[in-house]
Formats: sequence, structure tokens, C-alpha cells
Amino acid sequence: MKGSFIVNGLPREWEFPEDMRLLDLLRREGYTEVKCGCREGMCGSCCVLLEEKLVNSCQVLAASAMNREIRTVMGLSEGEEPHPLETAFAEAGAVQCGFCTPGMILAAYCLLKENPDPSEEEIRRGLDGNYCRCTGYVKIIEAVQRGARKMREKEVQE
Amino acid sequence: MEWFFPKTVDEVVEHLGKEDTVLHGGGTMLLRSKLRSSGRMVDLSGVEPLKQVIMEGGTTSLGGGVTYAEAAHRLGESDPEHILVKSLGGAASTPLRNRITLGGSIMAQPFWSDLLGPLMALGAEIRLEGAHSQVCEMGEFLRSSELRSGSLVHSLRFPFHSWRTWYHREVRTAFDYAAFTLTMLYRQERGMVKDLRVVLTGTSKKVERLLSVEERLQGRDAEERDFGNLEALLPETFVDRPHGSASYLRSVAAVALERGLRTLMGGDAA
Repeated sequence: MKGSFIVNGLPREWEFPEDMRLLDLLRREGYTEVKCGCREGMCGSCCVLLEEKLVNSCQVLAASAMNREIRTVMGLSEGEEPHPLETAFAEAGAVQCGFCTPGMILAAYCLLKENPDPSEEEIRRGLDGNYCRCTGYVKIIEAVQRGARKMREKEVQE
Repeated sequence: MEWFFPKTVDEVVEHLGKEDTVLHGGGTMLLRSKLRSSGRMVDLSGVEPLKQVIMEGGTTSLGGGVTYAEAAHRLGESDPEHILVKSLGGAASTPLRNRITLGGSIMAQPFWSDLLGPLMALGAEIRLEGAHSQVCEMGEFLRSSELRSGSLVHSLRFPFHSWRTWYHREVRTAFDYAAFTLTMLYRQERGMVKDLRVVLTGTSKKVERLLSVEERLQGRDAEERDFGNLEALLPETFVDRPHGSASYLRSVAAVALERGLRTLMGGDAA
């Protein structure tokens, strides 16, 4: 089948099998920042934003995402400037192997949109669908707190 | 496989009459089943009436296409202690809650459901369209597999009451299929137990209202803390799960039940 998508703000038109998952379609088309982990909706490494909602792209049939806006982690930054959350993850040392990072950043982004100043417990809950097998989450939580501060400061400056 | 994208409930109903048709809500349950055998996939995401949340006239109505996340969010705006805020707001994970729909969950009825127990306790009714267009009680719907065949869950509704609520999901980690869930709704008046509803899920009966517990406590002094042997009031329908044996889970459920009663009747934060 053939379908239109809007990925990171750009219109795309692709042919794909009717039962293809969004994860596989995005990766086939070069969006390799969307990582393939468990394929069961457990690990969160394949997370993307579908109409600005965090979803596991392995649990979304591509056909059901047609004519909708999809955002990968690459779509968060503005031009060459990394998103404050991306900077915060690097500064906090919250990235080891990096496999979970795109999903973590998108989950954190969704959380901070709803709640700009979350408690540690709220961060843990907001990231409940994203597994990291390297860091033990301490640095990730620190990165989200740091990113939250940066986003609040940026908003004040704007 | 052929995809269809109806815009109205009537269009969906037309599809339901055709052979080899599968309804696609959030898709999470479909991807766990035999997807490749589906000939006609009907996507419900464009059917606006299925996405409505209406709270008026003392009744709450949630469309079958409403996601867990949306339901928890909308109900939480007016009642943060609502039982569905507690059960759906903590089910599965954040990204999955953004996809799992109420209608899909009601149709699939997985034993680990965080929806069925609270709906039963709330006395919910389900509006079906298609082969069995009608409004039926939750219990009737659960008992009848015939009602599920060829049907679309249009919406579910339940009366608005202010309850003290308590919800327990028996899991090994936060993101785990529940071995059982316990839902409790409670109201007291002048220091007496006015209304108590207790629902257990995850047993061989899938969903059971624990009338024996309700009857023992109904009308008694809310200050009374001796609940007697609660385990004896629990059914023998627990089944072995990876979490533990049936008898172990029954004992755990008795502890959870007492903890819930103490919380509700003591007025502690639920």
C-alpha cells in the first residue's frame, strides 16, 4: 500500500506492506535514531511521538499512522541547535551505550511539556516505559531535572 | 490485508457485517495475536463519536476509542481519586497507555486487565453497536461471548458518585501483567459503612464481585477494625501464575484486602 506521513515536519510518501510496523518503516526510510529493542512494547527504545503523544512505534501499524505527524528525537532540535534535553543528557553523563537515549529523551520531553518541574517520583513515572540497561537511571533522572531547568530558563528568556 | 478508514459509526457497522473483519483501535492487542490472518482491517481512529468523553447529568460516558491515558487524564481533572484514574493511570506504561483503548480492552478481556474490575465496581453499562446493538450491564457483557461477536463498543457509561477508592495490582515490578487486581469503592455515613463494593480480577472467573466481603461489612461501625478472617471470604478461584501459586495469591489477596479496608475506613490517603 501507499501512504503519506509527516515526519519531523516534512511530508513523506512511502510504499509499504499492509502489516508493517511503524518502527520498521521508519528505520527502512533512514530514521535509524528510532531503535529496535524488544518489538513487544516493553523497552521503549523505539518510542516516537505520534500526534505529539509518546508511543512505542513497534506497537503501531504503519497504516494506522498515515496522514499523521510523527516526530523522532531528530525532530526535537531546532536547526543545528540541540534541544536542551539532548544537551542535558550529554552534560549529565546519562548516555552510556546510547541505545535507549532517543526514547528516553522523547519520554522526558512529553513529561516536561505536561509538567515543567517534575519531582523525582514523577520523572520515574514519566519514564516508566523506557528501559536502560547501562546507567541505573540515576544519571538519567539527573539529566531530566537538568533539562527541565534548561527548558524553564529558555522559556523565560523567550 | 486491506485497510478501511471509516468516519462514522454507521460505516463501521457496515464493515462488521462482512467476513474476516478486524477492528483496529490502538492496535496493541492485535500485534499480540494473529495479525496476518486478518483480511479486512477497519481503523477506528477517525470515528469521532468513539473518542468522546462526556460528563453530564450525573453520568460519565467514555467512548470506546478513548485511550487509557486520555480517560485517566480527563477523569482526573474533576476527580483525582477516581478509581479509573488510579487503575488506568498506572496500567502498562506511558507509551502503551497512549495507545490502548477502552473498547479494545473490553473486547479482549485479558486476565491482567486494569479496566474490568473498576468498571464492574462502578456498575458500568456498555453501549454496543453492530450485530447486538444494545446497552448492557458489564456483568452480562462479560458472561456472553455472543455479545462480543460482530459488535463495536461504542461507549461505556457509569453514574457519578463520590467514592473513596482503593486499587491494588498484584505485580512483581511496576510494568508487569497483574496476577490479580482488587478494586474497592467505599462510602460511609455517620460513622457507618454505607456502601462498599469489592471486585477481584485475575481468577478463573476473570472478574468477580466479592459479595461476601461486602455483606460482612455493610452497615457496620466504620471504626471497627476487626475484620475477621478475610481469607475465608475469598473465592477458591485463584489460579497459578508466574507470580505464585493459587493458594499463595489467595493469601496475598487477603492481606491486600485488609490493607485496603483499613485505608478506606480509616480515611487515610488511598
